[in-house]
Amino acid sequence: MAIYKKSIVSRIFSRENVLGLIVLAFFIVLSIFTNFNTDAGLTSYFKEAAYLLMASAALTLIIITGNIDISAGTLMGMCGYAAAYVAKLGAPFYLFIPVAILTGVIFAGINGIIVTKFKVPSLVATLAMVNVHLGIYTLLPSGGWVENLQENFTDLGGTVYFGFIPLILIISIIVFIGIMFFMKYSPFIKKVYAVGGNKDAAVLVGVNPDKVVMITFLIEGLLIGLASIFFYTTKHIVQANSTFGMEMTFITAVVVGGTSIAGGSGKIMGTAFGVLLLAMIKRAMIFFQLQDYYSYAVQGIIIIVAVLITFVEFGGKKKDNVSFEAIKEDKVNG
Amino acid sequence: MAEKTINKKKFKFTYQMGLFVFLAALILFFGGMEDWIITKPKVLFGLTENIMEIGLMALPMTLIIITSGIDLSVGSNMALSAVVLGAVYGATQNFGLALACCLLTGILAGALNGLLIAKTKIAPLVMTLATMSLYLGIAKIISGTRIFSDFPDGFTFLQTSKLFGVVPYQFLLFIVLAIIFWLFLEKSSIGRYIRGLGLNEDAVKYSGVKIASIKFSLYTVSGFICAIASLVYLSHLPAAKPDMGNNLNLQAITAVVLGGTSIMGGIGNMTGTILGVLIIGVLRKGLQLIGLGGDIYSFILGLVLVICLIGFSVFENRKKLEL
Amino acid sequence: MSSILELRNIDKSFPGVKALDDMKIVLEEGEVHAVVGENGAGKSTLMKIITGVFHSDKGDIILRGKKIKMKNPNEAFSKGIAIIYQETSLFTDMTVLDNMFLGHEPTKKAMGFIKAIDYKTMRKRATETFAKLGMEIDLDAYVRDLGVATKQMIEIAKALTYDADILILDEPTAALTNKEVNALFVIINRLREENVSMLYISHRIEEVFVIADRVTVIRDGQYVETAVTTDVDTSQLISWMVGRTLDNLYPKTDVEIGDPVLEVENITQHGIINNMSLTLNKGEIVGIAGLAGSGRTELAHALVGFTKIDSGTVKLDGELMKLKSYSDALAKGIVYISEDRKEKGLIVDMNLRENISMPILKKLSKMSFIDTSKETETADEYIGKLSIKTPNCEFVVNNLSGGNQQKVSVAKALANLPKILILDEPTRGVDVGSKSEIHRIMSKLASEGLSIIMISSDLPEIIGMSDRVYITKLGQIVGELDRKEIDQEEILKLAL
Repeated sequence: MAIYKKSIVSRIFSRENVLGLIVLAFFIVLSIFTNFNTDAGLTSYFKEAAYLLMASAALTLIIITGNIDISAGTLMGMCGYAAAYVAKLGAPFYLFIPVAILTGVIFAGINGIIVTKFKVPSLVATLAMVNVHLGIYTLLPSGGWVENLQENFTDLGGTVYFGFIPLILIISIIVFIGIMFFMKYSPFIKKVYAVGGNKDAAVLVGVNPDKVVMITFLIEGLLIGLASIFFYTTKHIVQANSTFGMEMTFITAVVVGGTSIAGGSGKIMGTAFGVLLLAMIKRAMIFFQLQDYYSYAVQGIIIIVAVLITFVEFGGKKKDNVSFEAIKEDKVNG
Repeated sequence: MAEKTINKKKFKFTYQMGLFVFLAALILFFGGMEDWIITKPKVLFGLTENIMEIGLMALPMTLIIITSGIDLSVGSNMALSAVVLGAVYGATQNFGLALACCLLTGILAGALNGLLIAKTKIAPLVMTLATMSLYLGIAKIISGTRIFSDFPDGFTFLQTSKLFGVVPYQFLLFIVLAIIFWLFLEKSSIGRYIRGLGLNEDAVKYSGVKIASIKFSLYTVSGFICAIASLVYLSHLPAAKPDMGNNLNLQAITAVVLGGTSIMGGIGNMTGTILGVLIIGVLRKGLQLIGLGGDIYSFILGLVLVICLIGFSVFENRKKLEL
Repeated sequence: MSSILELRNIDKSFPGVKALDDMKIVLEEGEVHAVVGENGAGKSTLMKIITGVFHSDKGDIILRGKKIKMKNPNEAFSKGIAIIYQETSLFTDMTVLDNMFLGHEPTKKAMGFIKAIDYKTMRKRATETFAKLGMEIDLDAYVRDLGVATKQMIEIAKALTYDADILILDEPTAALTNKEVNALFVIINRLREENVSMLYISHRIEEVFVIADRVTVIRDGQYVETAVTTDVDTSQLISWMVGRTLDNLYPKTDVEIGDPVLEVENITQHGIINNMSLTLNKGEIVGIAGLAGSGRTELAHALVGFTKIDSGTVKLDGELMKLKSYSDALAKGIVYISEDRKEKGLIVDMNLRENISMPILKKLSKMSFIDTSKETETADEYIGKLSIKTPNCEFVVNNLSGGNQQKVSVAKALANLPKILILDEPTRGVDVGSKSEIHRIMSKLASEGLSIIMISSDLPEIIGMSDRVYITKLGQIVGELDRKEIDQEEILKLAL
């Protein structure tokens, strides 16, 4: 005798399923009207998706803890720069990739320390760190630019299989699947949700919120480091500040995917769909040459619509039809 | 037991005093580089040259942050208003009309934020993050590839004209508005409600206060001020382009938070914001004077903000332990 | 029976206050041991020491015969002690299953070395635990979709997953209806059969006699007395709790009842209120009794303008009244004090003056500028009227004691100079001493011409304080009883 089961309708029309359908619909529409379904079109799309998946996954975790990282964009720039710099010196991929990751972990870790140890709210802390990052760029050799990148770097981004499946997408998907398993089976992730959902209750069951948030920032750094590789190896020049403002896109994907900005909830699969959708919208706009003017406006509208839909979702009264056979059997006298 | 309330007052006093001292130190420091402070009030006011638009936006921002909200769209709002001004004037050569459109844009943009934030459960962070993008986008659509620099003569009076030849009108504007906002926050009933909203929104609701109208008004006023800020900005750089406001969001918020207003809501005051604005202004101008440009300024601003946030946080936590 | 948990000579001080002074308590194995005392007596501090949230300054904790030191809450769990709080500490955006095992999920080694959650084992254990309580529940339901009673059951089940054999229940029935309370008692009896020992903290003295084997009374941080529940009665317990005899628990004086001030006729709110009618006369205290969810609070919300009435009329002093918002109600002199006082009523970081004046700030302001001296006058007036213990009105509310904070919210309501007060559970969670003070104030207000509607789940309170009682059931009013006719059985008969 089950007590509370979500209605069949709300199960079928779960956010993930609806998003998935929308992605599919977009795919079909775009294939018909644009150059989407060509080798060139798909390759660009997949390359976009590759780094977005990593970065948005990173932001998803941060947002679940109830925090935010506005410096994710500039962070990615620094990781990319570090990797490109080392690559220019001749380092192969198994060296420059860890460099990117390490850079990400260090700088995200700094954010984490400011938030956990010094208790500064993440919004302002990371808002300020954007400027610090930008300042660091100016101090970097060549002002944060690395030019004339060689094959050791660009091959990674340039390798494409079957004409339209980039290597970086494959790696990204593998990592993403790893993240999905992690989300489902790791006891640590439950703590992440707990800290974001109800910090006091988490403490009562022995969770250390500071430790959890700190580790989440470190994971974010790792993923952003990977994202920077997927982003920059597709280019021939690395400009640290070309990723300025990108966190907007990451956060949009997360919000579209159904994760609440308040923390405590969110599915990584939703973020994936958000990424696929956003990348498609971007491709569509590039194709219709609306990119430069309309992308910002569109992004803003998407966020508003996505969040408003979330509110419609969470309606419904509380159900308290607890089933107690006990009441019928025993009787407690007053 | 009464010491506890006194302690709180003492603490606030200390932080603000600290700000004042910091400001004075900055002025002396940069002044030491150039022998200009004491004898040249003109140069003192010159400090306020490029900071008044931020100062203006920081005023309603203070109120918004005290209600534990935030407005990340101020920069984009300002840019949009400026672009509208430029576009309408460029098309009609009618400054009155252009001005009206500019102000209306600011008001409507602010009102959109206010409406959705007041009427739905959407978080101000997300909403204004979205409109930050949206307004920037609309400004871009309107501009296309043009930069609007056709403005009437004498338009730059806010910047260039000075009362008694010394005090720039834009500074006067800032001070007048700052005083109004200060009075509003400290002495008016709505100011009390605003503080209450940041501390315990439900309690204010159950006192029969119309919270939705307060929130709506706050964001609308913020939008209006952004339009005015666009006038100030244009008066020293008469070229309206969509990305002119991109860096301003952080600076406005920095001024407010620097001034001692807590991002969590409920705590804060205008005096602190004014000090914060002046500190940022001195910092920027001072760095300029010694040859360090915009990037270094941003960097130092970021650092200063982080350090102040950490310091403020440490203060707050120590105070909590005392209780 | 041997004692499973014993605390001896416990001292605990905080800056400025000694919370526990040579406290002791003995919990026998398999018993339900009630702990009663006024607000501030030290019950919750004592529990926090048992569960490792606080460390005692002095004294011993002896668990199963061995002296131990409780370092943190997690240790308490591992030692088999679990506490169920009033405010459920569950994660609303997670499933029941995840909530139950958070922090101690059963794991297995995936791919030989990675720790992965073993969902199969988790589900099995969860189902078994709920079965032990005689319950079935959808483990994948999200906690946010469940009601208070269910959440409490989940908390108990969660405690059992730690193999806790010592449970501390802190005011478990505060938010439950009578039916749910019965269900809880059934579960407690079951647990008792499984040899779980329980500490039961409650303000509801009647419950203590129903469910507890023994009861300990504490007062002002000190141990007073322990007794077997069958050996004592309510007045004995109360006198131990307050250190004096309280002869008049419900000081309702007779008041001259005047004309109707509020006439509610056939109001309906689709799906929630069905054709309710009632009358409130001047100087009356009208009680509204009924199970939670029977429409009492919904009725109140509709009467004060929080929600809209779909059909029917409400007359104030004979004139038709249509409220568009709560501020309309306030303007007309109708004030609502919600049950969730601390959360919704007061801004604890502000001082008394600011809190009390908030509802009438407009009246205290000239052209929107606050007249601080008028504020202070008003605040001082109420501090006197309600005997609020505070050095002055600039004192921050957070630093007041619980009972005095309660009084501040009453002051806040009275500052509106209301004609009609609607109180929703006015003494829920309040200790006996403050309770009777609040009742005294209510009586006084009624005698001064105020009319009061009192919603309460506390039947003795309804019986003791009301001139008339309306009983609600499933969104309708099913009965009206006069003071002479009121008795517990009548009310229950109609309500169930």
